[in-house]
Amino acid sequence: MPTDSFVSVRQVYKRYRLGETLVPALRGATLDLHRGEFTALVGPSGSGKSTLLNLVGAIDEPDEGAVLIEGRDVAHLSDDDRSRLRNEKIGFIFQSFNLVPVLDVYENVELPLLINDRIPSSERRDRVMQAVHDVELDDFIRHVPDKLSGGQRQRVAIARALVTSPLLVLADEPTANLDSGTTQRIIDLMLAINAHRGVTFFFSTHDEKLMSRVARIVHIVDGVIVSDEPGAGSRDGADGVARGAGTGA
Amino acid sequence: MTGTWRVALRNLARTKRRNAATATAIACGTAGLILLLTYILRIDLFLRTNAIFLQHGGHVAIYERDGLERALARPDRHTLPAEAVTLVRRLAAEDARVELAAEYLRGMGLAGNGCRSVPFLATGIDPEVDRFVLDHPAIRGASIQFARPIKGRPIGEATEVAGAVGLTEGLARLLGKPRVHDEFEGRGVVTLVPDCGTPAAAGQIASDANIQLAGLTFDGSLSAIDGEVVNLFTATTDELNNQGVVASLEALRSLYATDRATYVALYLHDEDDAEAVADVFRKRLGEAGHAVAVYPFTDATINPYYVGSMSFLWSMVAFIVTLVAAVVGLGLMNAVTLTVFERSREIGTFRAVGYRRRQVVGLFVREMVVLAAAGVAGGIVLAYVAGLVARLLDLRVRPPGVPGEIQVVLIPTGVEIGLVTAAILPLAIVVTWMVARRRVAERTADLLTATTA
Repeated sequence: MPTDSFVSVRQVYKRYRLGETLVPALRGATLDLHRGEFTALVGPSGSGKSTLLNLVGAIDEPDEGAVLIEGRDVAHLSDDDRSRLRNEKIGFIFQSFNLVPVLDVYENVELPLLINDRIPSSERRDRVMQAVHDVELDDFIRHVPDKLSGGQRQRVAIARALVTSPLLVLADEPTANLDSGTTQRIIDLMLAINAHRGVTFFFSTHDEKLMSRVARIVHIVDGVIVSDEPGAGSRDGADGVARGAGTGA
Repeated sequence: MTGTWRVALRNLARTKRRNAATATAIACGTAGLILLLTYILRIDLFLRTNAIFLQHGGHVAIYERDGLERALARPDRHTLPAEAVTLVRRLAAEDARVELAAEYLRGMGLAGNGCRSVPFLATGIDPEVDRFVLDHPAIRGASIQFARPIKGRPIGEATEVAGAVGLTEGLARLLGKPRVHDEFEGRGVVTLVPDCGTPAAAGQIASDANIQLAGLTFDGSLSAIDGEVVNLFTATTDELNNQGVVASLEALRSLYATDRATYVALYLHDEDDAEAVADVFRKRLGEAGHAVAVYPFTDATINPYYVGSMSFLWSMVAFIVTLVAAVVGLGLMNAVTLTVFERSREIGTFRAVGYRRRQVVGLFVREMVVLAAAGVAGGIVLAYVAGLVARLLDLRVRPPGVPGEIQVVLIPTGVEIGLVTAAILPLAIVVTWMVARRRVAERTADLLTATTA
């Protein structure tokens, strides 16, 4: 069991206002993520998966409890510091890809690097080219998203998430909009990146194929984490496809 | 080009029609403001040059106390004595800001053609001063079409003609003197009109350029001189058009038997010095015991048309500019709001990948800078084209209080372009900043799930 807890979610509560009513999205969720894990967050719609991902990704704050990333309480960081944290440590993959339609593959992947003045342009170019190569889109580098298939677009999103060499990649239903063949290839790609680079993956999914290959599955229902157990993919860890193991938060 | 500028440029291609409409609105607003400003500055230049040079008021006019109001009625009391004029000239010579000090004499009387007499209001000018004024770069710069006489030579160029005078076209008509000295090939023959009641009288009156000017000397005696009409000119104000006479200072002094001057006009190298110079002369002449009234050309007492007209026109400009700025600003706000709301999810994505709020706002501002710059550039071109068309059509306007027309010159200069650009660009940027900032400040999680995208 890994001991280097990278992200700690401690007794987190989150509520949303719906008209006059406060709807609880998370109710005392507690979770630890460790370096190199490949963890699926599973639960029915409205169970709080996206809310938990947003909190772990430092794009939202809990009403109660704490989210610690590398030991730092996200709620105590300024907005600029949270932005820097996201830029440098966290990558995001969205269900609907969220690519900028007027930018080509290269430019979409380059986006997170443009705001980091410490990266010289030559290094920026190299990083983008490497990320595009890693997702095997070299031949489409000057294509805009409209000219790409769904799977290709998601690979662009993966490249964009990886180009900053993050420690953690968060993905919200990354295969929901993809057909089964493409889903398979995206899962393979994510597993390979997890295996070879040690990038921590934490993603929400309903996809049985994906769940069958993860090392750890966290179940959430009505804002409460009801189970946290090793997935079938934990066996793959032995052959190097996926690493990490469930910790049972 | 940095990456963020590249992103901004690419984003402009996204909603081409809306961006084209926005740029067109900016271009039209820019062109309208440039043309308005060009027109007003042109009128300002014309009226100012008219007041300073053509009305011979100078940048600073020095009168005996109450002389502006009473010199014509009581010239013996309210005109400048010779020693005061001499002192003013000395002070002017010592002040490097003064280009020229010129004395003028104004008086009234009756102008006759042998058959009838009509009242006149005369200005006596040193011929050298007349030449200085007509040759002055300010006159050429203002392109004042009626700076020179309609017919004949300015008195400054007709010094060989004894008793040379210029008449306003209205007075010449009243006196039946449509022709000037040069049209008689210098014959200088005076035709006698034996019977003013016959039909032939008008032809006989018109057959020479001779008139008589009669008036009271400063001590109250009757006096008259012969005048030879060497030019006809357009009066600088409507009131003067039926009574204006310009004569040499010497001739008018002879008519009124005086060595005094109604006022001394100071022409300066830089008109911005007018008020400061006026203060100095007021003080120095007061210290020397001369009770004088000193008026910079910006004083409404001496130039009511110029000051009043421009005050009104600038108020109008301020109103129109406010209106245009509000329309352009609200139009921009509408377009930017649409753009920003449509791209809410994209804003959320930018925030998620680590862009700070100001960096996201900066992207929208960059887009607007490019769009507004294109709009302003288009507006400048539009203004130039409109200016050229106006010139080709030879459009003319009659400025307030002036009998002549001037050509509408709407070709903008750097001043108008600079002022309008300095107003439009910041307006566009501020509007974009306000709208984008408000949206970007929302929760990133909400932006990522926004349904407006």
